Amino acid sequence: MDNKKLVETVANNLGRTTEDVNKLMEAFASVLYARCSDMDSVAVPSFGTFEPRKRNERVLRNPATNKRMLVPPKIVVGFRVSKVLKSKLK
Amino acid sequence: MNAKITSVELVDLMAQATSSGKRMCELFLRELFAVISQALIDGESVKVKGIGTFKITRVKPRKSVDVNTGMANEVASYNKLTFTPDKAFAEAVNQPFAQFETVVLDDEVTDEKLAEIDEQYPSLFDDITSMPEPPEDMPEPPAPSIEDLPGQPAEPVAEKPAQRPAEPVQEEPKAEQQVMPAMATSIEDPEIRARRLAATPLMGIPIDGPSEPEEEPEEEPEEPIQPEEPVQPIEEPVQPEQPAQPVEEPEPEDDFHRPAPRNAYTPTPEQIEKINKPDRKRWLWLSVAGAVVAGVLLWLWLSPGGNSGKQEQETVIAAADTVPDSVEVAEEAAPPVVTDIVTSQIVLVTLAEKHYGSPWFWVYIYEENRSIISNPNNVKPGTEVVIPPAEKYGIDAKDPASVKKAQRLSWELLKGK
Repeated sequence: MDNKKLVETVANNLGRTTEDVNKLMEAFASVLYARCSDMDSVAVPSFGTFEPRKRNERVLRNPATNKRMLVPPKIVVGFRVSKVLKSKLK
Repeated sequence: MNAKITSVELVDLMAQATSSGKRMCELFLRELFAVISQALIDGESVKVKGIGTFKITRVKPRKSVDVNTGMANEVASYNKLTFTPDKAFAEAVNQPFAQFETVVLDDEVTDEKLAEIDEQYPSLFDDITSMPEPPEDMPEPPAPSIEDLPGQPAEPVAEKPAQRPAEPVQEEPKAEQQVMPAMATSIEDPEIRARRLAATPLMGIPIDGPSEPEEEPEEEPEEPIQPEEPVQPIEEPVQPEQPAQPVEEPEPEDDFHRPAPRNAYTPTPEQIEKINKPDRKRWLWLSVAGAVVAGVLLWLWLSPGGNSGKQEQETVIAAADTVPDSVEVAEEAAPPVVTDIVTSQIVLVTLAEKHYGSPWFWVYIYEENRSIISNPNNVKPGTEVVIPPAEKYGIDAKDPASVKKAQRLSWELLKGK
């Protein structure tokens, strides 16, 4: 399911236009960005939690060239599936 | 930070970000994720713009061991939901570390390569390379200090921390200490010694005042020695912000004496007065140790503002009757002779560097003090040497000819040794 179809389905179910839904999607994304940038995790009930996680820097070795590389630290977004959804997916 | 945003807070935040009301936002969120969930349950992957991709992957059954029973069992296959954040999302979250990039580490770096870089950019290391120069220049200077070291007791360790911040002042007490043990038995030069003692009280008085009387008297009555010369080195240090002594010595003596004398001299007369009294030697060592500590304290105390120190001194004066006269004498005399004290760290070369700006001129200090110094490579710590005025020997660190001459002299001297 791509984004377009998703938006259409949601708009349909809510009885709103796709533009409205797109706006709401953007608002949700902006809130999500802001919260995750502050290292806060965002929980969506019965779906899961978006949580930023810090990864330490590390040294990698390219097996082909044997060159070692220093990978910088970074913050990645993780997603933890809620138990409800997990059991449904099983 | 590390807070967990609940659904209620999420709805609030969303409502603030849009014109839609809370109710609408709540409905939207519920509907959105319901649709996504349904699609996932149907085995579809869902791509949400600006958020990321949710994908279902089937995990195959695998064999495992029950940790409690140790029995082999099998983990059933299941669907795993994976989330890949959208690029925009990932970048927004990684903002703090965005400037970093993966670097290839160069394992080929060797000392030779680093040396090449050093040569290419010599200016970068100018400061570092210029520092080792002195040791090369003076072949013998290090020797004295090393030779001196073994002879001295363990005190230096204790003193070191204090010494660093205020070298000039503290060095003197140290010199004293080192000499004391030797002196107790044989006194080479009573005059020098008395001077040294005269210098001590400056440090010792505030705390050790009472105990000191016993220590000094050991000397023969050396009253006649007006402490003017020996005192001089002390008063220099009193000015903490004056590292450039060489400049001061020749001329500004008078200026010096005017402001400093009260601090610098008052103890001395008292000292002299006390020299006449009988003493016990064993107090010497103890009180000197105390004097060092006291000296550090006094100096620290004096440095912020001379006032309190002065008061203290004045009370001391009151105690000693003869003081006023001797103070006057000291002020007027102000002889042009500059002296300094050799310690285990400060040898002739160091003194030359300090007073004339070049270590080579140590020869002239040696010449001037031939009577006291038998071996320039091994000057007894605590020896007080006269620093001759620069004009006397034509000393000029900026004049290559003068330095050359000093070098030649020093070579000859050392060869003779």
